[in-house]
Amino acid sequence: MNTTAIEVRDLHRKYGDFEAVRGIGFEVGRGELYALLGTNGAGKTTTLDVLAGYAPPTGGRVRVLGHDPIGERAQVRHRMGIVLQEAGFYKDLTVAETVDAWRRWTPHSLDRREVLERVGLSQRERVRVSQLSGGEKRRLDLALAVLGRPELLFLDEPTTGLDPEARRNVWELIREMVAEGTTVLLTTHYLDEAEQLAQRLAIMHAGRIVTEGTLADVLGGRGTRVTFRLPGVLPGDLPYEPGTAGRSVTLSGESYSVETDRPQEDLRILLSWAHRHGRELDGLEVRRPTLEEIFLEVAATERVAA
Amino acid sequence: MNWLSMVWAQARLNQTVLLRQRGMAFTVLLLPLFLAFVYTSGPQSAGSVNGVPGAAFAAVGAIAVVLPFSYMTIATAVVVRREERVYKRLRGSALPTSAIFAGDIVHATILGAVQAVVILVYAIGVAGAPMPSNLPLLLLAFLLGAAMFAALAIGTAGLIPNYEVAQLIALPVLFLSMFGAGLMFPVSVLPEWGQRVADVLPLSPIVAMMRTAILGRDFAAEAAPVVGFLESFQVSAAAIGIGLLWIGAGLWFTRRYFRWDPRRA
Ligand SMILES: Nc1ncnc2c1ncn2[C@@H]1O[C@H](COP(=O)(O)OP(=O)(O)O)[C@@H](O)[C@H]1O
Ligand SMILES: [Mg+2]
Repeated sequence: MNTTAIEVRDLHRKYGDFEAVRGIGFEVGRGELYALLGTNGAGKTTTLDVLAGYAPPTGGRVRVLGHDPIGERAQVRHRMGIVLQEAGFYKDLTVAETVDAWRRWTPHSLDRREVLERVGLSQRERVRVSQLSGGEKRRLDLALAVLGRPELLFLDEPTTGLDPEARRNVWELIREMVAEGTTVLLTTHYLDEAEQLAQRLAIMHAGRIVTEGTLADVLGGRGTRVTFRLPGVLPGDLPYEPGTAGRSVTLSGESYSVETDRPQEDLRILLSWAHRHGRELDGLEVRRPTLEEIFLEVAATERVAA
Repeated sequence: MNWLSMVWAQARLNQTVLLRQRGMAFTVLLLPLFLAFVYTSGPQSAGSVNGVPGAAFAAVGAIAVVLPFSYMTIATAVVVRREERVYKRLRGSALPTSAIFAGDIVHATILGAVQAVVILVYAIGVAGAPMPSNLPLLLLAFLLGAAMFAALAIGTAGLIPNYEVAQLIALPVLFLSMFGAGLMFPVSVLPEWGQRVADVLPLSPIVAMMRTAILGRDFAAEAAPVVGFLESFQVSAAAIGIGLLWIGAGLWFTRRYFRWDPRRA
């Protein structure tokens, strides 16, 4: 059996004169969760549209479950589920009516109770779709996408606009699907979402993939940031040896930023130093680099290399 | 899960959704019946046309009025689903796109057929129309008309930006159809060129065929002579031709302007 679920080679996609996707390539193995990360306008939805068979590539080729998603649509249509970034429902139908309608043309579908239970909408069966909250609509999106027990799920920004609890619920659901062997291609602009879910990921920017691989690969060399404010303290006063590999200290105004590959160790040193000297670390924060920081860096190094 | 059952599922869904939109449901379900009733009790229904009671003549024409309402049903359904991105969701499901179109057509055609039968029964029972003299021709006229208005609805929907405009457009379509078919006033009061134009408007050939099929006469000829079974097909040839041309126009428009997405790619 073929172990590749999605294959993308030198994919281009234009809208008129504007090229939204400019030659990208990646592969997703069966049973894998792969994330496409990127800010708005990076070309994620355009890529997904091509893979889901909504639009042909204007260059390059894609294979989904071994088939051309447009030319051989009949072979793949019923094997994939799609959560679109933006798609409507029949607003006047209830949740139950919507699922029942979809079941009528979905082969081997889960039954209604089962699928609504799965996405946590059992209590909302009789509610009109127009009355659902954003998070509930997203869960109905997911319910319809998984209704036909798909081998492959496309999820376009499944948690954008959701509150933290709703986000965690959706993550849980996605994890369950992956545990059952479903292949998932997810797009997101949250680094933490990719971190939570993805085995491998690609970062897209302006129609290109700027970096690709496992999370460790992508974050490689980009350490955790420890930031705090210490008025009147010079960099030389900090308990850090200057020029240590895997750590860099920058000062702007009164704000320090320590980028480190060993956050736990360096934080312990910093905290015990502050304790000994009776200093208060104002606005202390420890965080991973944001997506923006990573691909601004990547883009910058690329420009230097070019 | 075969194609036909998917089409049927779409048609059923369309009907459920239609019934939830009260205003729209009232318009397309009841207005054609109301129009048919008003029309057969109006001034046209007095007297007779070439020996056929006026009310019967009018009632037969009124059957065809259900067709522009099919146009309204289909065109608004297409526009609403496109603009609200329901189409995008449907196309991402296991449903083939042909089943989406077919579901729309089957739904509107069944609605129209039920309404047509109600009006026909009324025409025979109350307005004094005879039993149809050529049932196959009547069926052909109805199916040709249904195909024509469906093709035009799907074809023109691409040019209609939203639901409100879809409803606005449906009115001139209705009036032009009724006018061309001589349902507002006799086409014979128009100048010669006006009559030629009226003859080729979409509903006109369908009304002509239906009159021939039900009343057994050729109203295009002087004094509307009685025609036999085969002859009634022969005298309908031009009407069938015009109908096919309109279907061709609808298909051409569909190829050129139809879009699944609110944005133009
Ligand atoms: N239908 C369209 N017509 C023209 N431009 C489009 C269309 N869809 C998307 N774009 C443009 O293509 C670029 C990529 O869009 P998109 O794939 O939606 O990005 P993302 O999903 O990563 O936010 C954007 O600049 C967007 O404005
Ligand atoms: Mg997007």
